[in-house]
Amino acid sequence: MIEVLRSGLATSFQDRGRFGYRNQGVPLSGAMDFYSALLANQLLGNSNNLALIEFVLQGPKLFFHQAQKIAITGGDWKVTLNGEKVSLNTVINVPTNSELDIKGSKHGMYGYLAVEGGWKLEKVLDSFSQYGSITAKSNLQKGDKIKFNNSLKSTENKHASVGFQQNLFGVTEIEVEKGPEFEKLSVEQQEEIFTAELTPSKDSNRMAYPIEHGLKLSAKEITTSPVQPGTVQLTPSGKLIVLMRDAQTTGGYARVLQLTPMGINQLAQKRPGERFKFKLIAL
Amino acid sequence: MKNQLNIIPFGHQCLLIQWKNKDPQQNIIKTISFLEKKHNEKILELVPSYTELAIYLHEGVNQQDLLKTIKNEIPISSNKNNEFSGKIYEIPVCYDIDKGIDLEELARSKNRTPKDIIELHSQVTYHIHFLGFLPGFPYLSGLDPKLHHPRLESPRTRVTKGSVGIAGNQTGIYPSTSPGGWNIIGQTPVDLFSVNEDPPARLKAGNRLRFKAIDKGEFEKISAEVKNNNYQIRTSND
Repeated sequence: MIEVLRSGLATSFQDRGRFGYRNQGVPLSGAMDFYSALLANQLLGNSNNLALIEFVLQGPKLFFHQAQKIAITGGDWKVTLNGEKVSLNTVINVPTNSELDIKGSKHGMYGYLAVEGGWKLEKVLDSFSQYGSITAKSNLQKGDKIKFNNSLKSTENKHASVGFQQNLFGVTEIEVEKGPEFEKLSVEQQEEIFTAELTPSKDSNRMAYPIEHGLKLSAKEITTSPVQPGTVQLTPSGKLIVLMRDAQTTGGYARVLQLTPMGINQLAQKRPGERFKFKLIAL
Repeated sequence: MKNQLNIIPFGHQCLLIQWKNKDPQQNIIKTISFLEKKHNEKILELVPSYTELAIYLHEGVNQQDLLKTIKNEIPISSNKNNEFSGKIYEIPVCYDIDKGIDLEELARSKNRTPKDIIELHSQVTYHIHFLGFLPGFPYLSGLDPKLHHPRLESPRTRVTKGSVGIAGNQTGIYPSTSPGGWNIIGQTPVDLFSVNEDPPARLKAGNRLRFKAIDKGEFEKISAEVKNNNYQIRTSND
């Protein structure tokens, strides 16, 4: 069992997402950066869809009442175990009655903490992902106690570790495809959108990353239509918004681009102020 | 009838069918049941809207192959009759001014009395096209043009669960408390979404809906019934 001593900024349980309810208006949710989440589970030999703890910018402080194998991924987080610095992207053996403190990170936005065998949690609508009006709580809170799912532990020893994820954090070009309303942009705008220096705004969250672009762009509203994580919307007033995992299932802004699955992970890890460009790939 | 629709890829794992005719609701309903019958094993989820249908595919399904396959298979509805015939939900709404906080302002700007607004809003049978925006939120058509009204200039950070609002040519119900920019004219005590029900959304696309004006006393009575889990949304067939 762990006990939450400090919750961090917006720490939540996430898995691959809540599938099968989008036609009832339920967002997909799921880990912002699937790539790092998958890595944390794989280091521990867990199945890919086990829930993990996701944190953003400022991580949680947790007390481990029992010994447990864990893995932390998703950035270069400053992590201490009982005051001693520990390594990321590898298996960590946490002894009984330990304090794990996940502080800030120089790179990346979202981090993941997986435990061997996962957590004892109840699924809501077939998913562990916490989301406002679906699950009882939308975030981990100070004082929460969560049990480990010891029945799923495997017996093999794990020694795997991986290096810094250059393809995730080092990219300056994020791959996109044309969206349904791409042709509504003028020829000029269709070029500019791929040469402009872009950066996520400070208002970025699990629902959407508004993008600062410095361009003269605009598109008329559309009849409300399906949208998905990675859809790049353009508003009549010129705002460029990339929808993320907790996005609505339908929207009324022009869908000019669509990020690739890896592009969503890469953008999720970009901080406000960090520069990138969109790169068009053929479908 | 040809060229009535487009099918385009929308990202890596999704095909989008776009209908070009004005009111393709019947085509969408037919297409959903066709796809569920014929290609169910390839499909993760189907999400309809007013004029489109998103086909989200399972990982590993070849998008281009499926596009070619379904291109000539999508059923074309020759039926000009686009009337909705699904059952009608009766949604009780309290239009009191402390619940419909924008009702008086809306009435003023339309040069009508609040009573006129309530009448115009509750005498229509609305069509439920699809659910989106929030879990369980119905996209309705049929709002009387006399009630069309732009969104609030700056959205509220908190709109109470059950609020009934008007934005542009649409009316809708907030199934949960959320930020929002609709003009609020009333509130329903009814739950439109509950994770403990199957399906969790109480309203179904393809069906119809009417609002019924209730007073504060009835609002409290129904609220208590909803809380005790013994309220059923009334339905009828016409």
